[in-house]
Amino acid sequence: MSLLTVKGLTTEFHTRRGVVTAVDDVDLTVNRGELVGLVGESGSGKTVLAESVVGLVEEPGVVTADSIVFDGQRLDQLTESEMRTLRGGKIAMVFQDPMTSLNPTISTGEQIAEAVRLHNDTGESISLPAELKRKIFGAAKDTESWRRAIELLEEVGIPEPSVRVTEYPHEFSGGMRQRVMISMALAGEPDLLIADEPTTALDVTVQAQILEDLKSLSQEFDTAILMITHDLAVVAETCDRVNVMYAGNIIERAPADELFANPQHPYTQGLLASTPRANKRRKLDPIPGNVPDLTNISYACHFAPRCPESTAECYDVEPEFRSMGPDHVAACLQRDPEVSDRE
Amino acid sequence: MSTSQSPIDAKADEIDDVEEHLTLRKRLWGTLKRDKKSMLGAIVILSFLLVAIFAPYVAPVDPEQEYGIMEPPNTHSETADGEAYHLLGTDSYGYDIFSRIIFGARISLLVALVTVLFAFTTGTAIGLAAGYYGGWIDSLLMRYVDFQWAFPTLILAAGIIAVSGSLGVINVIIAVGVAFIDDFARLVRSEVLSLREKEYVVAARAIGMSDRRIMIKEILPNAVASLIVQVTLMIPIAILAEASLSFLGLGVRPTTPTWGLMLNEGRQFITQAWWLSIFPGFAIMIVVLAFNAFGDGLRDAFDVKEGEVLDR
Amino acid sequence: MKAYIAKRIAYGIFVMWLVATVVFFGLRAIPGDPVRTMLGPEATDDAVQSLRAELGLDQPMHVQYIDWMTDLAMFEFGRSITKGGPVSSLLADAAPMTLSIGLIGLVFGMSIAIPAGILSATRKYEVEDYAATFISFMGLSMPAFFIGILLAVVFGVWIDLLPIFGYVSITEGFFPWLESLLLPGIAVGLPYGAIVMRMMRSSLLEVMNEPYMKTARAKGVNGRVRLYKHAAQNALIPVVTIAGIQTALLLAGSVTVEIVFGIQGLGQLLVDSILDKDYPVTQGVILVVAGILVFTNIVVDLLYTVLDPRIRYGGEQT
Repeated sequence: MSLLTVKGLTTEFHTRRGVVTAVDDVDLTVNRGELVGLVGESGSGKTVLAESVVGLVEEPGVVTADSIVFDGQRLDQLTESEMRTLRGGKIAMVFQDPMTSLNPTISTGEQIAEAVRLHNDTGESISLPAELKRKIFGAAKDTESWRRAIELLEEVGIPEPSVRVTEYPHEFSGGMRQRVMISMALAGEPDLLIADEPTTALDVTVQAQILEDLKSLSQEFDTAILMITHDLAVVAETCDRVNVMYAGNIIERAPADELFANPQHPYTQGLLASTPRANKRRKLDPIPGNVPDLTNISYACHFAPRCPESTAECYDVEPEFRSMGPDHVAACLQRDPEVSDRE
Repeated sequence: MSTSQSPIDAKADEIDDVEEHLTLRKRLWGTLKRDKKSMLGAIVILSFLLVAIFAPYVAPVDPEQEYGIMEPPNTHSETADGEAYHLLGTDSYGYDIFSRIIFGARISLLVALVTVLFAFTTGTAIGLAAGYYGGWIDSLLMRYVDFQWAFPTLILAAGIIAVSGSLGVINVIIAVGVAFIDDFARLVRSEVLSLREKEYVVAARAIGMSDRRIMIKEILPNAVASLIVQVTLMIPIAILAEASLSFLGLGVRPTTPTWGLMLNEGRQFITQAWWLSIFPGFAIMIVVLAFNAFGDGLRDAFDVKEGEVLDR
Repeated sequence: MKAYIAKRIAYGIFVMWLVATVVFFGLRAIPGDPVRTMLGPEATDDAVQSLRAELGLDQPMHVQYIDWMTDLAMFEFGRSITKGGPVSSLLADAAPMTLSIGLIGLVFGMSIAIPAGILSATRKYEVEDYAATFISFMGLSMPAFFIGILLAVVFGVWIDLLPIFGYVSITEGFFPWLESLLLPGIAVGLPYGAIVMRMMRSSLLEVMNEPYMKTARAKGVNGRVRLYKHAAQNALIPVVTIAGIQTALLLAGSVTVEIVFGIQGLGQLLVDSILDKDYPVTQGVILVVAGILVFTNIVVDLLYTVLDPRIRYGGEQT
């Protein structure tokens, strides 16, 4: 059963140089409890897509969509204050850099407790004076939100949570900070957790732990995760289904195993060929060229200029999704539907 | 340019230089065209400079000519050789204020420009040496910076005036200039420190380029943008410093027409004749405003961070 | 945190020592015979000799230096040549006036600058922003003493609202004191506030773009709580730095502005002493000004420990 259904989402940034279409008419579905990957190079629009869904895109960005439905609710028709109760509540986010994503001047406990108060009925005031009082004089330690903050820290595996809860972010290591971020995201018992490159800034050994934690938390709370990453290894490790994004478009989607075994879009194939794998020694084959400038792209398939298989047609005809197998679609004119014996 | 250079080197340098100047000039011009504020600033600065240079031709009367004292603005005086019009009135000595403001522009701008030039050259030299060689020059500079930490420019300049023992244009230039040296020295030093380990500098050193050549050819051009912005923003501060010193009576000798001194003389009569001090004050304000507007535009154009050049 | 504070105080003492040393040698670098210069050309050799002995100038250099430092440590600045009496009592009379002007300027400047900076940053490129930026630009372009003259003409002469001459001690009541210093205070506070406001604006804009502000948004925190709880304190850290550095401007402003309003503070004392070549007074004023600045900078360092937990709970330097 689908939890989030996005249809025809477009995000444009109106800059002095022209209109940058960061996300171009994209559909996306996340089912309840499912782990979905959104993969692409930096600049492909994956973060903007996620932020557009939860209304985090700021000026000069403009988001339009045919519909964004979350848990039966039309997100694209909510007011900012209605959206706010969802954000951090039923839809939570974890960001890339835990070093800068936590406020250096607020204790970690208070940062978590604040999220608890905002999205649970703790009976504590969340008015500006009340929040400022907590900020200036420190959070009250005998409140439900504070107790819950300690529980949440424990939940994400932070040792001695009742001590660390009073500490400031700079006293935590990178991995620990990301755990704090995750515990903050869990405060509202979310149905959907958007994890934007949650492990990119961390050491490799910590990366694996965080991914494991996310997976087990997802099962424990029945939380769906939209995993945004440029790292195919992360996707392979965690995701049930994968969306591959290139220059504002989703160009292929498939179950994770299927995608790795049988990539169809030339970009996905290129991406896989250029990813090193520890257990296989083979020549790496980088994709020539760079992600295009998204200002006023005039050709139909955005990958065409870098594509080894592109023809004149690719520049003119908008590639529609073609079925490449069960639950597997790719947007490429050079692929015949249901033919899966290539590569 | 040293004589040991091969013709090819010299040619390459020339091309480099031309490019550097072109881009700088282009960016400057681009800023002026885009940013109305800095364009207006530049126009005002230019007009003040022209007025200062051609003061004897622009000023309606001789600034030392005495008329009736404290005549209000927009009045006429009868004199032996006809009638004189006092747009901004006359002061407590009977001098024409408008003419004195025009001649005052000479002193104010000259002092400010020479002061900044002095601080710029010495500061840049010290900063280059301190950043490049480190060692005792660097320690000495940093101790001087520590020392200045405890002083407003004005008080330091007043102290230098006290030591020098007399008033006058040269003393003002030295006093204010010395107080400004550290601004340039620090800026250049930090630029040098960040550039010193850059590949092309290391490469230049590896191929045996002399220290002086590296500093002048490789390092300095990369600090030019910040330096230009710093100079533009220091000039108005120098104008204010000179005006303050003169206002305190520690600047140029009395009766020299300068804006600060006019304010000093005028302040004693604010209850009777406001125009004595208000108009010279506006002159200071307009020219400082113009330099600030222009400097702000340059800072944006050269993408120099606000914290990078010292904001005082 | 203790180590940090100890370090800052030690640095302050070091700077004071440096200043005292430079003043010591600076005084001795004066061309000609300073004692004769002080006394004037008609002084007798006996008078010169006795003054020289009084000033200790007949001693060897290192003895002079040690005497100088021990005297300073006890706030002994010698005796005024022209006014008679110890310099320290002249300073004790003058300093409160200058400090009062500076204090009122500080309060005035800050109470205008912080709200204006916040308004300007939150309404970026709107009317409020342009208005605040324009006023701060004007404030930056006028010397404090000219603002003082303008204020005196407008509020003292044209509309006879506030006194424009003299100083009323705070011992004679808070309101008379405030009334006598309101115009001078505003005059020095305006340029100061202009700089602080610009810093507040740019600092807040920068903080608004920090990832943790996005975290707060993603958490569902509303705009006002984001601004005052999540952004303000972070934005204030660089503002406090600038506000501390600019105390120098405040002090220099007070020195000139007090002359406009006929207040016999440190500025008047400094100018008189320089023109009279009353060197003990000149050096006294310079040392007091340096001391005030070093002190305020230590206060600013202490403020950091309140504002920045990274300093409060660790050795991390800014």
